[in-house]
Amino acid sequence: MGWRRWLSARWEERHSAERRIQQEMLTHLEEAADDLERTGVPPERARAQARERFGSLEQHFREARRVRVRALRRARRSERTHGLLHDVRFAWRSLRARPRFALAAALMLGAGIGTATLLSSIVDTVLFRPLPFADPEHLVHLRGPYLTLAGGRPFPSTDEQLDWRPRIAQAFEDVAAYHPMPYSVNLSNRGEPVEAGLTEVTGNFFSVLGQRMLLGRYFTSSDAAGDPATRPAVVGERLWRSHWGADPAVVGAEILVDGRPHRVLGVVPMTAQLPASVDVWVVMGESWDTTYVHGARYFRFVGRLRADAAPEVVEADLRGLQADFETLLDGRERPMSVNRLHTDLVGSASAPLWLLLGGIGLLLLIAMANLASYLLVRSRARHSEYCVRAALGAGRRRLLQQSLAESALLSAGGLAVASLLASWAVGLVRSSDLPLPRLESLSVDWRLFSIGLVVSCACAVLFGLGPALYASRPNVAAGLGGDARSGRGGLHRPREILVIGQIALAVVLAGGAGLLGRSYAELRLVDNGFRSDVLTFATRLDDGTFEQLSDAHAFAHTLVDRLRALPTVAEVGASTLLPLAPRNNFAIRYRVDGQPEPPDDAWTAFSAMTPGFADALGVRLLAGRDFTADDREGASPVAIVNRSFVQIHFGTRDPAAALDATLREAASDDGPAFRIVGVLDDLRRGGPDESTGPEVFFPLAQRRQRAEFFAVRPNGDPATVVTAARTIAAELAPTLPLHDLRTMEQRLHRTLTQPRVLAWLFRAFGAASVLLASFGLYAVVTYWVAARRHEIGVRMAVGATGGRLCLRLVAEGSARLGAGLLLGLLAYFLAVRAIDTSLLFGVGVYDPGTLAAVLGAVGAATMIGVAGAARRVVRLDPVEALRSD
Amino acid sequence: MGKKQSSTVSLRGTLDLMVLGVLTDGPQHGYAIARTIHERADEEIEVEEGSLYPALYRMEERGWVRASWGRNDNNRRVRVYTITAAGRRHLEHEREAWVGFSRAVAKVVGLRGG
Repeated sequence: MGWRRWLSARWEERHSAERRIQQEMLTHLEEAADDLERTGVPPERARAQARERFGSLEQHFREARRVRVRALRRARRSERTHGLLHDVRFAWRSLRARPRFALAAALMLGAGIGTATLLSSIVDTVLFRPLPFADPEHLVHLRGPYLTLAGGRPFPSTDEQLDWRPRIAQAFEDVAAYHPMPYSVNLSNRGEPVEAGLTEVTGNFFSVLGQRMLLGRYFTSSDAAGDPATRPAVVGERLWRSHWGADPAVVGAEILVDGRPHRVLGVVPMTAQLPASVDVWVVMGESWDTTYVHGARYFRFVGRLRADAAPEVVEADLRGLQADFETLLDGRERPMSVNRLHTDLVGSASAPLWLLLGGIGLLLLIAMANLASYLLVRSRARHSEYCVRAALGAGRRRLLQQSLAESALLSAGGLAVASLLASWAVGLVRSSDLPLPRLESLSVDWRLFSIGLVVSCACAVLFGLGPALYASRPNVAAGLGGDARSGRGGLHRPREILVIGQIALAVVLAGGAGLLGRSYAELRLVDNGFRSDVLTFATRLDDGTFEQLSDAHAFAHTLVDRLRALPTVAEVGASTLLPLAPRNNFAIRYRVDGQPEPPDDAWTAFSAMTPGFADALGVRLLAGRDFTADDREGASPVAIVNRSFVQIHFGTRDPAAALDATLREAASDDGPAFRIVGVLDDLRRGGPDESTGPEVFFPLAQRRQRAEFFAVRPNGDPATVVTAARTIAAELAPTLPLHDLRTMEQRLHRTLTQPRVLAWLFRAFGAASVLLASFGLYAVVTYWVAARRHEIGVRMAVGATGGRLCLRLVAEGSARLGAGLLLGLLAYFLAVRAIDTSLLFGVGVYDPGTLAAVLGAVGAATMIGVAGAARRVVRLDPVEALRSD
Repeated sequence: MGKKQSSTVSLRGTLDLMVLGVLTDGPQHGYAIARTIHERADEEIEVEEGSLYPALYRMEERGWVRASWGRNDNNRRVRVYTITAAGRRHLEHEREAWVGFSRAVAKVVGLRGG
């Protein structure tokens, strides 16, 4: 009812109430006057007396009116409530009468909201939430090979002592160092020893971070400088819960780390720890200045910029610092990367996450389109019902109220499903080991949840209100007529548009799936330069088992020799570097006597290995020889280079050109010289998608590094090799555990986790979207058939054959499909520009083969839907069809 | 019932009581009710007749009386009030309370008897 009518109705109501009261009171006065007249009082006197006996007319009238008006208002209110309750109950009954619809709609709604919430929660947690440290904007991360600490010597040995700390002092409040990759130690307090991940950090590490503690406190530089007998330690929440059962008595407890006593000062919360996968933090070395680096261990640095630095100033400082490093190192070593801590921890996750978000977003759109289409169909069917109700006198408001009640119930159902799904899925993802940073602090973001809820409910309401709005228009008679049931009319067109949209989106998703799938396939095909069936493991070098370098070398060589002696071992070797294993990115420049200076960016990785290592790993020897036992300490210094090195320094692809040339470090003019005795093929150290670069190899015996990695090429069953290796190692060094036992295939698998997961996910998205779109088209065509039954019946009766009609339907369906595919192609070209090409490998975004395959797949799948629907036409009995209207 | 009623038996409440008491003998319209009250009370109570109507409307809202159109002796169109079952129940309840109240007042004021 319009507000004007409402107002006038209210006025009428009040007016008539007043009139009734007036009438009653006047009648009363008349009767009283009559009675008095009967007893002989003159008329004037009688009326006056009656008035007197009545009391103040004014006052009583007003009070009476007040009571009446209040009563009327109350009656109206209760009618409204009663009406609302009735509508809700009616909506519930009508939904129960069609349980499949209600369930399907609620599920679709819930799945949509739930999935959207999950994805956006992930993105928010991983990418956007600030790091859980004090003032994280001012935390800077420095990564790189450069390790000089004042007074110490950098590694590898160069003769200069460069100190960058004074430069740092201008920009930073303080700088701390840590080992980013934890290594296994044996932790014991009162019971069974447990393996834990340990990292060493400088004393000021936690102060620089502004670490939040769960229990107790963290250690500081003063603790670090204290009595070495009570070395301070800090444990992580995960270990605290699993090993100490969340007992607060852990604070102050004494624990043994590989046999050395430490005192636990506090517990770090799981959601705020750096590095993410560590269980125990101890102080490194004795002090910042005298830490000595063993072998291939490496540091990263965390610095806190001066607090008075504004963000733009911070940025400028970072760039300046980076430039400073480059100038400082003057081309001797590759400079550090300097970034905000947030960028380094999270940055690499952003491209795939955005892609994932895009994919899920599209899938959700398709699913929502399905839901909308579903609701439209339902509303169509109920159109005549609403018209009948309107004809019977239901006001517009009542009709809207009823359909709103239904939409509200559906939304409530969707809400329940969504919150269950979101909570469960978030818990699942959090406890999985997806390679996403900050996963442990993942939680459902209820803000995003409510946004999704509001949006989806708005959609449900909109589509639910359709028929009610339509029916409450004046021209209801037309709706009651045949028009409502013959399939003409506005509600079919939106469904077609929805389906075309769905097909287009399906093309985009399938395209994404195609690209990512091919990328992954290409990655798997790359020749990495080593064999994948090689067994590898690592030892720990920093534990003090071998004080002397010679002891360490002896261990490595003995282990290698004894393993080689086994019949199950084909070849074995040790090295300071292993492909796909954590490495330090050391790189310097070399030059070759008699050859031109190498370019500025010819950063060359170097490592030391035992004879047979390259062979064990399956790296091809292109020219010359491998190291032998004769290349030992004191013998003439030799080196092996790789193919890229030859290309860069000798300008030729012929490996033999490098043999017998003399190699030196580019930085020093009179440093040691090495004779090149062999050339190996290139290795992809970082994985299939990293480019190869120049490398130099030295014999382990001639270097001051300690070998950490072992590679064993088995001659049969790798399992026996594993036990043998452990036994022999235990014999030679009982306290030294072997860890990280994996084949190269397993390492490769791990390295390729992200492209593999992405490809898999998008394949799922693509399949789901094609299914939904196909179903959508099937539903549309089916409905079209059902709506035109009468017409089809007529045609059949007049002589059209089922086949021709079928063909006609297929043509109609194909027209929609074609439109969808075309639109999809356009959308694909638009969408694909937003993909970060670092996610793709070996395939361009406009790759025609992929596109053709995608269009073909989507087209074929959708056509099945059309064909299935069209077949039903053939089954139609013309007589029944004629009768149907 | 025997529930002790505190002195909430106000003037309004007493009027309601009297109206209901009158209506137990049969439906009547406003003026007739006023006259019956006057007669039965032996003219000892002065009730402003006009205050009857707000009371009647309130009781109608509460469901103690029901109103309908009718004709009086002079064939005038009047609104006739009938007591309902709920009204009767309320009357019973208030009767008891009233007895208790008047007894209490009598005691306080020092009267004997009832």
